[in-house]
Amino acid sequence: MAITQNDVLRAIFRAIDDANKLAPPDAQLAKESSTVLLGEGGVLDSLGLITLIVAIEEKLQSDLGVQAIVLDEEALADPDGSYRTIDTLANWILTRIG
Amino acid sequence: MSANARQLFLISDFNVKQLGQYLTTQGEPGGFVIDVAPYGQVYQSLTSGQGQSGGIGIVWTLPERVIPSFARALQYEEANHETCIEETRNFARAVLKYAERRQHVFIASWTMPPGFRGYGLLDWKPGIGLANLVASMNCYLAQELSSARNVYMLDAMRWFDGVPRPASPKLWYATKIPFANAVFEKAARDCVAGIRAVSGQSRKLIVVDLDNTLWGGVIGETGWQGIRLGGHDHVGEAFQDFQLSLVALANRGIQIAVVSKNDETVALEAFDQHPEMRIRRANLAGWRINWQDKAANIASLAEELNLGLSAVIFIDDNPAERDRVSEALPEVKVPDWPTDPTAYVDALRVLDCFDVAALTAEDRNRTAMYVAERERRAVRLGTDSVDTWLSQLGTRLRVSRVNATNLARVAQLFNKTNQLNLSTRRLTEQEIEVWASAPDHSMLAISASDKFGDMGLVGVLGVELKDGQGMLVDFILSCRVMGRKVEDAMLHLAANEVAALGGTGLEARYLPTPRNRPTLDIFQSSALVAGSDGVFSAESLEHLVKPEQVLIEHDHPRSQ
Repeated sequence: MAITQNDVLRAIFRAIDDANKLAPPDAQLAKESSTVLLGEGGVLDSLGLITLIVAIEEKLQSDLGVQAIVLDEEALADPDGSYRTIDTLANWILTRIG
Repeated sequence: MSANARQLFLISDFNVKQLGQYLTTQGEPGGFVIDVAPYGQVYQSLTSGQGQSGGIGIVWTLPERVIPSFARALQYEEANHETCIEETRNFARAVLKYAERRQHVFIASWTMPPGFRGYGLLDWKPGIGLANLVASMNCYLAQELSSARNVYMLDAMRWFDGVPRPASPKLWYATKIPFANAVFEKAARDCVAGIRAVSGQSRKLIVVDLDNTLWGGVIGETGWQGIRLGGHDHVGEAFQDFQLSLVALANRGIQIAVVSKNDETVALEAFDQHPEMRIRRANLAGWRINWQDKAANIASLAEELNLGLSAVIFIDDNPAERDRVSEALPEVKVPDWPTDPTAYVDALRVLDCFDVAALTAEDRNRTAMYVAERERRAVRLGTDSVDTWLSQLGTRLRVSRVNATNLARVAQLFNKTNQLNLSTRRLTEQEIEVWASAPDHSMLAISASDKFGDMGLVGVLGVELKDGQGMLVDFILSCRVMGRKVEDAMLHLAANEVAALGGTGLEARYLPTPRNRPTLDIFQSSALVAGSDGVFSAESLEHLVKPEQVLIEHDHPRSQ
């Protein structure tokens, strides 16, 4: 069955649930497509973003049976790139898994 | 951040930030202030001697990153196990040096990389296998660290239990975080259990229900003969094993009590007559078996046993009863309980609220002490006057200096006694030793017994001489001997110590806390004269006489 954007978003949101358990109240991530992950307006530091990305990879594997390499050095370095928001990340993941 | 926040210092050779975050989310009263040592500087952080002292250090390392020979062994190079042990000794020395400036140090045991097979079939062969080697290193480390009273090893293997994928290779390569979040969460919970233990906050009393908790069925309906317990019945066997696991905890000094809505006579028949019962009356610190509210019964039982509600945990198969007690007595721990009796033993075993920082022979005998106390109360009910009762009890005090044998129990009293505690100093064993051995200081440990049995070490006195005046710094007494003239006997002992130190008067300052009002009551009714600001004094030491109902024996030389 084809993986949809909603499938990917659900996996992302589950990873965010886990991340929010550790985050202080002022660093909680909202589970909305427009939530900023990287760049201006984002609440995650570099370690927080990397651990979130790795957690998303694990959720994609466990929830959808998909092995996708989501962690990307270039994307990490581009505040206006694929990691900018949850929406851009989900779209990017969809292109990676074809 | 609260002024009561505990200071934690994390030292690791990997990125340990997740542990810090999980510690912060544990919801401990007052919270934690967490300092993380620079990454990859384990030995430097342990041995530098710089920075803040006090607080609790948490050291978690991977053996291959601090023991070079072990790193070579992991590469299947022929390893010299003696060299590994020697390097372990060096590591232990560094930890012991670090422990000199920390109140407590927790150190995680070493673990193999999760899933690593090592030499497979040969992995437990001495001289070859890596499982054997890391176990030897851990045992050696534990032995070396046992010379420090404030260092505790935590079993890091427990943190992998039940975690499907404990290692995260990608996270390691990207961030130097070697384990999954679930491992850090378990580690944090274990650390917090340890912090509660060294703070004297462990649970000491398990209150259990009866029907479908200690046995299957409703005894009021079936009589003791009809309850499901033991026998060739998997559920009966499960209940029996649950009883055995409770008795096992009692062997560690944790008390068992019963609160049940039942007819007391009918219920106690099971304890007295059922051949498969593994808990008998002599195993119980007390019980309330009646038709009254369980929360009220638990509160009454705790008061009878001189325990605060924060020392109590309540186990009941009935979720409605659990909710009722949780709501009425928020200090009582009420764990969720499985519906399947075959899961009861595991549910009890995973509870981390019983961890203690020391275990004494007295702890192991505590149930017998409570049984004896029941007998004392029975005698009291049968006598007309308190003085007659006290004379009949034959109370004896044995007085010792603080020494290696009683130090652990003395530290327990310092850190767990709230009601009868003059200044409520919370001291580690090391701090007690240092204070007691200082010039013009005297610290006594007082044990009590009577015709019903030994009550163990029940009191501590700390006295110092300042400018010729005796100061009573510590007056600590276990509630189990309250109201038996032991309080007056201790003031008499304090006066004797002041005289032996060369002083002529005694002064004590009562420092109020939310729970030590009973201490004020004792001092106000004593021969000491109350002044202002909580100060009590006796100009003449002779006013503090020994009560005639208490016999005192000394097994130490007096101060000169």
